[in-house]
Formats: sequence, structure tokens, C-alpha cells
Amino acid sequence: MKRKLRCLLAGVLTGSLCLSGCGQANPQAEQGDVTVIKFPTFQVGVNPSAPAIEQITQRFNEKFEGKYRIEIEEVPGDANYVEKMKVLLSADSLPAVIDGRGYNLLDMALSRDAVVDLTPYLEADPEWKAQFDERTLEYNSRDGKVYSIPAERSVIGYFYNKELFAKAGITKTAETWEELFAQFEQLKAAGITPLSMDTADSAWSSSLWLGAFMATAGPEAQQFMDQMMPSDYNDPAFVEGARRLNEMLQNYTTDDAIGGKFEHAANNFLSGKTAIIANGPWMTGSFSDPTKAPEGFADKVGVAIYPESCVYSAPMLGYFVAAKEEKQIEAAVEMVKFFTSDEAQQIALEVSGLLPASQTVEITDDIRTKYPLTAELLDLAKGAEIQVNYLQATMYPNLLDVMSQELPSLVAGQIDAAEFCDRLTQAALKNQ
Amino acid sequence: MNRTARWRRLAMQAILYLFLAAVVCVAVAPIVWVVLSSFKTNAEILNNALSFPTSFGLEGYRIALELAPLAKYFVNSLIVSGLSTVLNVLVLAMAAYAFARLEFRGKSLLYIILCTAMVIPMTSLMHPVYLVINRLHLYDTKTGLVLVYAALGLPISLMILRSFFLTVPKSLEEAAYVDGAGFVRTFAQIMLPVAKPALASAGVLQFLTAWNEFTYALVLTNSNNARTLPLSLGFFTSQFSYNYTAMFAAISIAVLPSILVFAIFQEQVVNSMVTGAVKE
Repeated sequence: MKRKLRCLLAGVLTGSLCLSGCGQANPQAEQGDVTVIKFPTFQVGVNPSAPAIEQITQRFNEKFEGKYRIEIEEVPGDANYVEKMKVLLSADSLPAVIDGRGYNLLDMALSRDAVVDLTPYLEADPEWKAQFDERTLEYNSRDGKVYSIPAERSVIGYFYNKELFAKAGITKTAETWEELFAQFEQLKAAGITPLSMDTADSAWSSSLWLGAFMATAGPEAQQFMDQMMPSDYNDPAFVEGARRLNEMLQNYTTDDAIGGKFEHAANNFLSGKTAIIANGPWMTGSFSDPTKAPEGFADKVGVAIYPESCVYSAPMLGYFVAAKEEKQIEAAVEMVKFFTSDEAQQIALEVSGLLPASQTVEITDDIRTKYPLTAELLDLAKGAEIQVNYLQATMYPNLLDVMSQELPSLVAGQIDAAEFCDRLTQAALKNQ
Repeated sequence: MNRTARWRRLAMQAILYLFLAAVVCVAVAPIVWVVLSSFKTNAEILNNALSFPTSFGLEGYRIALELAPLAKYFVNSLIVSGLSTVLNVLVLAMAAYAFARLEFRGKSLLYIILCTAMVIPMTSLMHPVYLVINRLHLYDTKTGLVLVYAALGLPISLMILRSFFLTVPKSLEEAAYVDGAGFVRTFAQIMLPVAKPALASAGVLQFLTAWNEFTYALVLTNSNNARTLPLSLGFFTSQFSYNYTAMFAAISIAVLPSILVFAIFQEQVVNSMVTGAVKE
């Protein structure tokens, strides 16, 4: 028995020793003369940007060998990344560089005074500043100070299945909303479901149509689309947009759209069940992905901008610096500078088809051959008369859930379009 | 036995078997569904979630292992879950024995405080736990996770073990004392072996809690050296991209150990539940 007791104690001791061996020093460390930048990113796994980020990081580490080194911290899952950043923010432990695109982490961090003003660094490097147009810098500024720099911009139209269009006798994409709804009828008459739509997980694809209705309703409505965090959705143009969205959801989409996620909408389009899906160019990779689409599907897809010459073309929020110590700030700024350089944006475009934020990045013939739909969308966007930001980029984050919750009620007839807009307004007002 | 009685008995047996078959289906169906889905293509999964796979290739498993460091996370999960279980059961067996046998001021209050920790929402603990772990320099370490998980399972393990010790006749300990054993020896050599079913029960529950935990693993780690298996599932879906085949393959790999642990120790778990229900 004594032997057993000794064995037990020895086991516990060994365990403790093993555990203590698992300890780790300060995560934002400097190793010798090399400043290590820990960079958490959600661009891992199946994220379309993952290969580009990996390559850009590798290039940075080669260029700044012996001085700076980026260590990527994989945070799989977009929502998980945001959750983690929120906890780190509340604990005042944000990493040196944060990717703020798409999730409006910038304003959250600014409210805690945790962001470095990048204006002096931009002013000190005119070449870097010249890459970005005024609209981009303004979008990434607060109170006249530039706090984040983007490496990407959003250009979003819709994709259509050329084969299904031909089957329905459609020869060109719609230029007006009336034409588009007429095409829906044509497709239906040919036994084809016109649209891929969704309502779950913020109703991404559906919200793009809603925004397009709003953007094409006049100059005031366009201003609304570019306004950050609007709190009044009771605008008659928005109510009319919600009514037409309801019409689409009721008559022109699949049964699984109500309660369905973007994945279901995408799968319906990729498997040829529907003729149209609204989404950005990052989806083009899926068209030739054998695990998602049948062989040769990519050749059947065309791209268009929305009726009334409208396209989502807007700057995005970019990388911002939340480092505290001088040496870390210096390294973090250098990293942001490199990640937003033309060189890095060219890599992102070539590897993952990400649209550059810089106005000096060249869309080469190689890129046109590799990403024909992206190149075509860019050309179409250049000629678009209405260019606005997409609805979800400007909404208060809590409204994304409200969209998902209320759209099924709208379709079921439990609420009308005016009530739907009022619920969005009420939710927006909770932020004030 | 007349004919009617025999038919009635047969009918009762048939109903019983049907009921058992239904229970087995409810328990096994989700696991079978996950494993079958790991052989389907993304389109097959999204088109009809209940359909059978058209082929049984291992492509999903290959992609899962390529996309996420599953092997590393698997080993981490084993270490973290295993050590937190040992730590939790060992410490709480001592605490539970003290609560069951010793009399001291504030015993009931302390016991209630420890047990009510169970009703505190995990998310509300996130910030303070992060700060404590960070200040102890245990951020991004398996040690940090082991300590947090061992603490998370405290109320359940304490309740299971205390109620078991209360059922053990005091005469057993008295006999040990008469034979010259001290308090510690009586606990270690008499009570612990007797409490094996309760230890197994608390251990299994603790292991499953640690094995499946996600939120603390996400917040308290940032490198693959300390990350556990539940985090790997995020590698297979993002806002605009997905690979459900690989995700189901990863889930199949992830659930296997927890099923094995429960299958091996299920008898002890059931025993302890039954034994703990009756007091001396």
C-alpha cells in the first residue's frame, strides 16, 4: 500500500513538472534583436484569403529578416476572431496589429482609446499615401485622423448561370428592375428557380438585393447607403425595398431560403438549381472547386452589376495598430505598411483574387486570364453610375441578427415591410 | 400459463424491445449521421442532409488533416482533458471526503458556495479568468487550460463524490482506525478504493467537459501548442466558404475518444449514480 501511495505521489509530482514545463513567457516578446509581431488572423483553413496571407507574411519575414518577424496566430472562424478580439480589448491586451475588415472592430477599439493614429506615418511616406484615394482614407478615418489602412476593397454585383439564362431565352442582363423581374418570370416559366437567397446568419445574399433597391431609389437614398451606422430605416425608399425583397423571397427563390444559410444559397447556385446569386468576387474560386461545383461549372457563370447601373464599390476598413510600446508600434506600422503595399496587394490579387484597395495596383493580363469574372466585374463597376457601400458594412452590428430574425416573419406575413423597417430602426436606436 | 397470458407477455416484450430500439436509435443516430456525412460531398450534404453517401472515399479525412493540425490538437486535447480530470478528481475527492466526514464552522455555507458556482454563466467568468491566467503567465499554455477546466468541473465532481462518501458506512473507517490507520491513510487506502465508481463517474463527466470545451480554449490560447480539438472545427467554415465534408470528418475524429471513455467506464458511472442515491 505504501508503494502505491508513493507511486501516486510520484505521478502527481511528474504531472506537475510536465505542466510547469508547458509555461510560456510574455507573448509580445522580443527575441534578441528581432521584434516579434504576433498576428492573430481568421484567414485560415477554408477562408479564401488564407493562401494570400500566408504568402504575404512569408515575404515580410524574408524582407525584414533579423529585424521583425510576424508569427501568425490562427483563430479559425470569423465570429471566433471577433469574440476573441472583444475579450482581449476588454482586458486591454489587444495584439499589435488587428485586421478590422468587415467586422468594425476599429470603432470598438477606438472607444477604449487603444488605436495608434497612423496619420503621421502616412504623411511621412507620400508614396504610401498616394496609393489610396481620398474616399478610402476618409472611410478609415475618425475625427480627421487615419486609424486604419486597407489592403482590399469591396466590389459586389451578382453572378448568373449563362446556360440557364439561355434556356429561358434571356440574352442580356437586366438594366432596370422591371427587366429583372420580367427575367425572373421568364426563368420561372422555363421551370428554373431564378434566385439563390438566404435569411440566416445575417441574410447576406438577400441583404445585397435590399441594399441595391435602396441605392437606386434616388440621391438621398444613395446618401443613406454611404452613411455609417444609420438609425432610421423608416425611410419610404427603404420600406419599398423591403417590400420588393419580400416579393423576391416569396416568389422567386428556393424553399430553403427561409431559414437557410448562405451555404444553402451558394449550393443551390453551384449545383445549377438557381440562376442568380448576389455575392462578391471571392466566390469565383468556388465555381471551379470540385468539392462544391460540377466540372466545367465555372465556364457557365457570368457576372453583372445591379439594375439602374448600380454596383457595390466601396472602401473597406483595414489593418490598425494597437501596440503600446514604441518598438512594437514601429514594427506594427512597418507590418501594416507592407501588408497594404502594392506588392502585397498584387500577391493577394494573384493568389486569392482579392480586389486591391490601392489605385496603383495593376490588373495584368495574367490576372484577367486567371480571374475573368473578377476582371469583368471591375470593368463593369468602372462604368457604373451608382457606386455605394453595402448595407451590412454600415449597419450597427446588432442589426445583422435582427435581419435574420425578422425576414422569416416578413415572408410569413406576420409583419409587413413597414413593420420590418421599424424593427430595424428600434434595434438601431438601442445603440444610442 | 394460458394462451392469452402468453400473448400478453410476448406483446409486452415486443413493446419493450421497440422502446429500447427507439432509445438506441436516438442515441446512435447523430453519431451515425456525422460519420456518414463525412463520406458525402458538400453538395450531397446541403442538398439532402439525410441521404446516404454515394461513395465511401476518405477524401474528407485527407482534407481535414490537411486544413487543420488535427493530430496536434488531438494530442493537446488528450493531455489537457486527461490531466484536468486527474487533478479535478484527486483534489475534489479529498475535499468531498472532508465535507462528508468532518465537522467545522461554515461547512454548509462553504459547500453551498462551491456548488452554486455551477449556475454562474461561463461567459461572465471569461474576463476575470483571462486576467488571472495572463498574470500567472499561463496564457497560451496547456497548464492554464488544465487549471481552468479542473476548476470548471468543481461543483459537479464535489457533489458526486460527497454524496458517495456519505453512503459509505462509518464502521469501515472505524475499523481502520482500530487497526492503527491515521486519517490520511484511511482516506487513501480504505475510502478511495471504495469510492471507485464515484471517482469514475466524476472523472468521465470531467473528461467530457474538458474534451468538448470551446470558449476558454479559444480565448486562453493562441498557438497550436496549446489549442484543443473543438477549435479545429472553425477551420472548415468561414463567412463565405465552407467544407462540410472535411468538417464532419474532423467531428468524427473528435468524438471518438469521448465515446470510448464513456463506453469503458459506463458501468462505474451507472453504479455510482445508483449508489449515491441512497444514504446510510
